[in-house]
This record gives sequence, structure tokens and C-alpha cells, in this order.
Amino acid sequence: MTVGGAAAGRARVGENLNRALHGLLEDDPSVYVLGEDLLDPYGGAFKITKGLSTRFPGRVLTTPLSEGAIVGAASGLALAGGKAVVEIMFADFAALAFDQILNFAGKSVSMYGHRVPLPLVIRCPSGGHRGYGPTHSQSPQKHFIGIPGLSLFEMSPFHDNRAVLDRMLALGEPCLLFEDKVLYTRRMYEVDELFTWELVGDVAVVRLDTGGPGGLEIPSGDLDYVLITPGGVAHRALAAMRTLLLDHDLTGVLMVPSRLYPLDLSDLLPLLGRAPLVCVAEDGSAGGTWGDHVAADLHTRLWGRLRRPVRLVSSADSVIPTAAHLEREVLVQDSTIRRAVLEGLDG
Amino acid sequence: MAEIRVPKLNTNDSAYVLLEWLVADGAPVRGDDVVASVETSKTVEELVSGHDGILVHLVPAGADCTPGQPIARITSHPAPVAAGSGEALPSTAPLITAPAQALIDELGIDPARVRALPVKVVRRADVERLAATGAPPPAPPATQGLALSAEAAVPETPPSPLPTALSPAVTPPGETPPAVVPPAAVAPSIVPAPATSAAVASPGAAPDSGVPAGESVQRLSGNQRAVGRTVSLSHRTIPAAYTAIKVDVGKATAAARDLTKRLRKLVGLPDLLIAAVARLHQDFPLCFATLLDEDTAAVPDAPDVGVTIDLGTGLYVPVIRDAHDKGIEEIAGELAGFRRLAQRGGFRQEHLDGGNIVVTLHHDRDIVMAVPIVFPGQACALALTSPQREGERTVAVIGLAYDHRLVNGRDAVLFLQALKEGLEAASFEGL
Repeated sequence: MTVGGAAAGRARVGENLNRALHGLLEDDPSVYVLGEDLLDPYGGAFKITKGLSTRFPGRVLTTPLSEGAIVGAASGLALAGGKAVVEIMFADFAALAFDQILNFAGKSVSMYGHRVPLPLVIRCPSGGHRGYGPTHSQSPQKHFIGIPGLSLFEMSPFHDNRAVLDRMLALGEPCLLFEDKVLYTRRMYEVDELFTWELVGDVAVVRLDTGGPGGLEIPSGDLDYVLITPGGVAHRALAAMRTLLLDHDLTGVLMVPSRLYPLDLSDLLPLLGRAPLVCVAEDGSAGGTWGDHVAADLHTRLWGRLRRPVRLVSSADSVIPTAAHLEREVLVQDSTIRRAVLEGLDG
Repeated sequence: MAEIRVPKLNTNDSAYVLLEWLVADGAPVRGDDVVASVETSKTVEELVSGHDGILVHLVPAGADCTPGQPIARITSHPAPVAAGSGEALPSTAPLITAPAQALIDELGIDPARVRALPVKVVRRADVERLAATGAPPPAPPATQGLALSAEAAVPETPPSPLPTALSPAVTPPGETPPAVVPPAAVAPSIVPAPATSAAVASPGAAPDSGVPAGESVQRLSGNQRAVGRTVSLSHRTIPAAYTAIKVDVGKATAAARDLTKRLRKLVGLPDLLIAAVARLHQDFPLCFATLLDEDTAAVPDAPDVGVTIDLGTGLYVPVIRDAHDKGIEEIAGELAGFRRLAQRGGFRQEHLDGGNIVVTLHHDRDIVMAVPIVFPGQACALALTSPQREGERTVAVIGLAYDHRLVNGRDAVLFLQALKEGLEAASFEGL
């Protein structure tokens, strides 16, 4: 268990990721980075690969516009003893690499009769709230859940990206890293002054700062609900928690895992089992979601202890409109989460 | 004294980093000096002073700043400015949750005792604990002191919260109630104000008064209350009449399409209608007039056409001023600007004041008729419905609601026929 907090630094999440890639390439000569338009001076659509090609020419490869080809080449590179980090410009286009991910990368780890390491990270800038419209704003995590040999991670303001990248590559299996675009300009490790957070294994646990001791011994008076969200939804969850506290006197705990799938909440089950309400909030569109998967898992493992059904919050069953006011209606807002908690506790 | 504010540099960012000050705090600057660099998620931009004088930093280098935020002052005198004077010491008073505050009020607990609690947030449970500790609750309110029954307190609360909720005197901060009340003629004094507006101050007191079981009280937004006041006043004071006419808009919609292509700017039937209405000002001055008393009306020199816009954030009636002097392009541009403001809520009073006729738009499919209200202080309000196919042609219905004291049925029909003629001729070439 590590204690975080304001002292840990104030870099922006995007900078943290950029530095993580610099450090990774510097420390490990077998790492390659592939993607579209990531050479300097452009440095990638969101500047996450800025400066890499200048420092590491020959290991930072700009590619043609073909996600299938990029992921295929990177998988081959990883099978041949290298380590590959792929940048997909927008997570929406990961669908174009689906065959390579499902049928090649995922299966290559285990289908040759003995285990073959395939250290591959596919970075996917995801999410909306930027007016980019239906084809550049999705959170397609749900489409990649349940593929044997494939792990899903999501960037968060609480998880150091270098540690996450190292962990993914050490798995020796293909991994997707979802990066909610709205996080790039947010600060690392910062929460509202009312809250404090710490890492419990893989999961960042945020709760009301009572000045008391840390750990998961949260008094029942401070546990009206638990929110579970991927990193991209964390700030909206925090905003909802603030309103729930100040307007409704309700305190809860927010859990932000780094690895979304497979998800391990074992250490947190005692706390989840005591919560009057568990709510999972995510940005993917409704139906067959990551939240469904988490809820099914919790219902099974906490059967008899859960006081209510796990409440699910997701974007509407809709494409994502470009117009800001319509986009707002479709995507999850802090008010959506607040309402779900209030309704959940009422029901 | 002037300010340097951070411009909106990149639409995708809500915050930038003030990278560095290029001119020291307290140093003299010229208007074209570059004083600071600001980093967005994409680029580094330099900010120019814009004024001569002495630069006073308001934000330290390395700090976050948001678009519109003042980051420096430029003064004419070198005044001694204490370092960090802009940053007040953080207040040690805790935040108080709404339920906790309600309990504090109910129990009459001394605010000083609450502020002294060693927590960041005072919650209801904290107040309960505080109330249970020995310290004597200082001077509880008289009705609470009796502590006989809940009924004892009832006379203190308003008999029915519903009428008072509509009181014009109650406006939550941050809302702009006059937004939909265009003419200055509508002074709040015309509206009879219920006497007990002060009682609304504690909405938490609502439950035990006048609300039938199975129903709950919903507080109307400031904007909606303002709409309500205007509509009530209109219905109470204006003997309104209504006439509608069918207009062949085939040529007009084609003209709008052509203009859209030619001007590279969205032009629609509403823009053409506004222009056509404005051109009738000369021939039908009373349709633009304000009734002063039974005998007289004020006739304006120019048509200032209000347009209703409601994108779900509230009803607004911004005004296109001197519309008779404006081309379609200019009208379309202004209307587009108003829609953007409606979406973001940036209307200022000057956008909304002074209309002397109103056009209401009902472009949703298959709407065939809408009766607009005549705003107090005006004579006419028009409603445009969506175009619909009728055999070979495309028609829209234009309705005219009018104050019968100023305009008679015959005038209304002539006005509408002139309007129809103008739109069907589609002589928008010169516009």
C-alpha cells in the first residue's frame, strides 16, 4: 500500500505519459514505438510521443495509415524478441486492428503449444467531451473484454504511467491502454481538497479526508456508497462526490483500478460488501459494458451481503453527437453519477 | 489601470500553464511588449501587454490559468505591492453540508461553535454530536424554546409556499430574471408582489404546507419564473387577437439555399422573415408601436425585431436592431451569434432590450400553428411554422398575434398579406 498525495508532484497526465515513454526507451533498448504521425516536430496528435523520434531515431517508427498493419507489425516485432508500443491515433480506430488483436496477438501467446511472450502495448486515446463527433469520441473498452490473453488498462490521474507501462510489458501479453483524452491536460495525483487517496494494490481509493488514519478501515458513517470508475471518469466522479457530500450529506469512496480486465477487486471485497450502494460508472455506450461485467462479478462474490443491486452508469445507447449540447446529453456527466447514487440509495 | 487577461487560445483546453513571466513584477512595460508565455495542450503562446505602465503580476509562473482570467495589472504608478497579496490566507472555516446547515438553523446552534469543529466538512452527524455535548445552546429562537409541539412553529412558516415561489422578489444569485422581458416598459412594479417573499428564504421548510400527498414541490428556475411573469402580464393586460396566413415558401427556401451557398453562411427562412417584417415598418407603424395610454401610442423610428430562441437552457428574446437597414447576410450572422450565446448562456442585457416586434420560430416538423404571446409594451408577435408540402408547393403558416387596442383585424390581414407578398416574391437578390 503506497500513500499518495500532493507532495508526489504536479505534472500533467500527458507529460507524465510522455516522460514515461522517454524513460522506457532510454532504459530498455528492445522497446520500439510505432504509430501514425508521431515523428517530431509533430509528435503525435496529442503530443504524447513528442521528442521521442529525435532522441531515439530508428526505434520510433512512423507508419502508414493502417491500424491493422501497425498492430500486425508490432505483434511480429514483439514475437521476435522486441517490445512494442503502438499508438492508435483515436481509440475508435482500434476496431480496424481488431482482427490482429483478437486472432493474432491474443492467440499467439498460447497457441503454439508452449507459452510465447508477446510484450505489446496498444495505446488508445479514447473518450469524448471534446466535440470530435461520432467517430473520434468513443470509449470502446467493452468490445475488447473477454478476449483470452488480452488485458485492458486505463490511464488515470493516480497511476504513474511508467509503472503501468512496465507492468504491461512485463506481462508478456498484448495489452490495450485506454487514455481518456480529457486527462492529458489534468494534473497527476490531485484531488479536491476535501478528499484524500491511496493505492490499494492496483486500485486508487479516494475518500473523504477526515484527518484520520489511512487504510480501508472506513467508518460506516463515512460509507454511504462506493463508486467504481475507470481513470477517465475519475474527475466527474469526484465532482459528483463533492455535491453528494455538500448538498446531501452523503460520503462515499471512489475506486479507480488501473487494470480494467481482468479486474481483481479481492482486497476491496470487505469494503464493497459493507457499502449501502455500489455504483459503476463508465463512458462506454449502454449495453454489454465493462460495468455489466463488474456488476455480475460482484453479485456472485458478494451474494447475501450486497444490500442493493449494483447500479450502472454508462453513456446513452447512441452514437456520440458533435454538437456540444447534444454530446453532453449522451455522455456521462458528474450530474449523471450524482443522480444514479441518489436514486440507487432511494431504491 | 488595465488588466491582462488570458485569451481563449485553444478550444479544447479549460486551463493553460503560465509558463514564465518575461517582464519582472513591478517593471515598466510598453503596449507592444511581450510579457508572458502560456502553454496550451498544443502550443506555447506569448501574451502582449497591450498598455503602457507598470506590470503587476497576479499569478506566479508555473501556475494554472483559465481563459478570461486576469493574470496581471498594469498601473500608472509604481505602487508598492506586497508579495503574494493576491492570495489571501486559506480560510480555516469548514464547509458545511446543506443538511448540516439545516440542522444548525433548526437547533439554533452558535455558528462559532460550528466553525471551531476540527473538520474540513461539517456534516449532519457532527452537528448532532455538537448539539448533544453539554455546552448550552446560545439563545435558541423563541418558538424552539417552547418545544411543545411541531404545530407551535407552523405560524412562522408561510401558509403555502407555491404562490410565494413565483414571487418576483425572489431571485437566486447568478440567474437573470429579466432575460425574457424585452421592453423596458415592463417594470417589476406592475406585477403585484406577494407580501411574504422573505419567507421563501428557507426552501427546506416547505414539506408541511399545502402540498397534497403524492406530490412534491419543484422550484421553478429564475428564467422560467420570469417567463411566467411576462406571460401572466400579457394575458392580464393585452386584449390579444390572432390571424394566420398560408405562405408559399418555395421560392424563399430556394433563395435561402442559394444565399447559404453564396455567402458560405447558413441562411434560413427565419432570416428572410425577419428582413420581410422589418421592411413593413414604414407601411404599418402601429404594428411596431407601444401603447402609452388609452389615447396615444409611441411609434418607433426603426424596426427592432426580437427573435425567440430556446435551446433548452431557457427562453431568450434577443433583438436584431435596425433590421430594415440590414442585409440578409448580416441578419443571419447576428442570429447565428445569438444561437451560440443561447447555448452558452452569454446574453447581456443589451442583446435583449428594446425590441418593438417579436418573431417566434417553430421549425419542428409538422407544427401547423402556434399562437405567440404579445409581449407587454409591444403590439404584435409573429409565429413561423415549419414548411410543409401541399400538393405541388411548399407552404408555411405565419401567424400574427396582436394587441387589439392598436391593431384591428383588417390591419392584421393587410400586414400578413404584405408579408406573404414579400416572401413569395422572394426578391432577395439585392440583399
